[in-house]
Amino acid sequence: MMELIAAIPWPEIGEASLDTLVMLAVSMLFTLILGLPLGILLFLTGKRQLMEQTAVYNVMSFVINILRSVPFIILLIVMMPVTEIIIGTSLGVQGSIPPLVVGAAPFFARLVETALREVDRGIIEATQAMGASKRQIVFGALIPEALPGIIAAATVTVIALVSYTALSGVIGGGGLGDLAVRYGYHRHQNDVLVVTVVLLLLLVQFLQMLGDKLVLRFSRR
Amino acid sequence: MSTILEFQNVSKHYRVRQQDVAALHDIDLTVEAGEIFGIIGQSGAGKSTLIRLVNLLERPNAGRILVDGQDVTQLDELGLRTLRRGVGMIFQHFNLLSSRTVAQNVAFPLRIAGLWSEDEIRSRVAALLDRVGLSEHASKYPAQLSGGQKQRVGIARALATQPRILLCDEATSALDPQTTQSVLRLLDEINQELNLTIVLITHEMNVIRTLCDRVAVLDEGRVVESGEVVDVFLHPGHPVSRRFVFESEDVDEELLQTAFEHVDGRLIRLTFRGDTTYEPLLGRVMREHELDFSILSGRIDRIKNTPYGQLLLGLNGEHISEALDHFRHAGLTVEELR
Repeated sequence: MMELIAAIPWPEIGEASLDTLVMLAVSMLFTLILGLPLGILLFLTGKRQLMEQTAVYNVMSFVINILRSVPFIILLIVMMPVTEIIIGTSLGVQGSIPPLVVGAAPFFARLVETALREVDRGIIEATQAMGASKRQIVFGALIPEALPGIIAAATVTVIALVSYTALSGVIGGGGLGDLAVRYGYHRHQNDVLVVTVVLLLLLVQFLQMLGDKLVLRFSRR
Repeated sequence: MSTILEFQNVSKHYRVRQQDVAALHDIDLTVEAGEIFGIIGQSGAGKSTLIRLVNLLERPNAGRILVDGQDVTQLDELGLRTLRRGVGMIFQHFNLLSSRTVAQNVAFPLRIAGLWSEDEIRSRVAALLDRVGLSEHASKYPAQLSGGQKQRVGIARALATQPRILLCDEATSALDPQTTQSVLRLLDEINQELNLTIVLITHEMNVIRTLCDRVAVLDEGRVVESGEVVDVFLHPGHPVSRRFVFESEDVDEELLQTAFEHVDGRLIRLTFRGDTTYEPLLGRVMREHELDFSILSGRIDRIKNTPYGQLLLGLNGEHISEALDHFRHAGLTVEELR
């Protein structure tokens, strides 16, 4: 037993875990920065909404659908030249950030749109009736009212990103996925595979718990 | 009195599957400053659309809507927002922000307007919550309140920017009868204290009777009858108005008529109004003209602040027409049914 544990390359696992966390944090940050405004815009330009713009909505919706229908493994490959232009390399932790964001942001935007649609129209109407500007309606009423839904959407997204980061290991993205491919797949070292799976599982559990806690914290219904 | 709100030839239609569906036809209405004006109609009559035209939550397709003499359809974005500050609104489902406390909900319109300091907002909110009797609930969230309390928050919020008109969109329809009465009382008090004009829509005649000075009956997008509540209530002219009145009174007019077919003599309906309601007129007239009478049905009640009585009488005797003249002379309304 002790031998088995000793055979596991712990320093490398520690390093890979850290890489995964960095990838996750950075890609989630950019997903929020891009996806949140995109989702809000998607909602506002939708049918019978505050800034109804059918053409704009349809174009955005179409692009998002395309990005969401491409399997992430394909997106990883397709994105490589683009990533090289933006980051300078398509490898390692940095190289995996752009495809992760491009994969997750449209997904998150769609979830944000759905969360905003859940807000009672009467609340928007009441805020309008007070003489609020569109900006005040969005930031004063819509987003605060949809916040629990938006946090739940972010939780789903960050967990999807965990599996995306693991997948990006296949094309040399670094992190736990990369480790699992190198030790588990190429060298048949199942023990390493098990450890990475357990670590990913713990990470997902932790994120879900955190998300649920935050949703509860901001729900006043 | 001066006119504060006027609809001139207002029409509104919606496009449903490439077709125009009319919601309102040629509406002409005038609301005087300080009065409580009720609009009653069944669901689908267009009352919801009508009240939303006042603060332009809906835009009319034709006609003019004047608030304080100003055509609201001509306002630009900024003008519209100023108008809306002067027109408060409360809703059937309250529409409070669930993410804000009671005090924050009431403060919200003040923050939006951006014309008051934090201190002013705080004291204003405290005064408003005190007025609607919710001071001790200031830091609760709407989900922790009862329906009646939520509507009180709605009223405080609507009054925050000191509007001149308050629009009530089925404000008591989601409340139980007791809570309805207390909310109506609050609205009545506010109307008198602040000389606030109230325009309300409802499908309940009871709301109109308790609260309103004047009423318009809306049916299929048209005003079919309008006038003083007392007039419309005691002498409804249009079938739809009649239905609303009898529904609220639990009276079936036709059933009454057939039930009294075998009653001898003339069938007369007398309507007393105001102070004559309490005068011993009936006995005096009957004695003087030597008539026999039987009271077949009757009600004595109040419409807002006006007492009224309505009696259905069977009359027998020689001098019936003189007696009826006597009643008319005393200011009663006499309807000869048979």
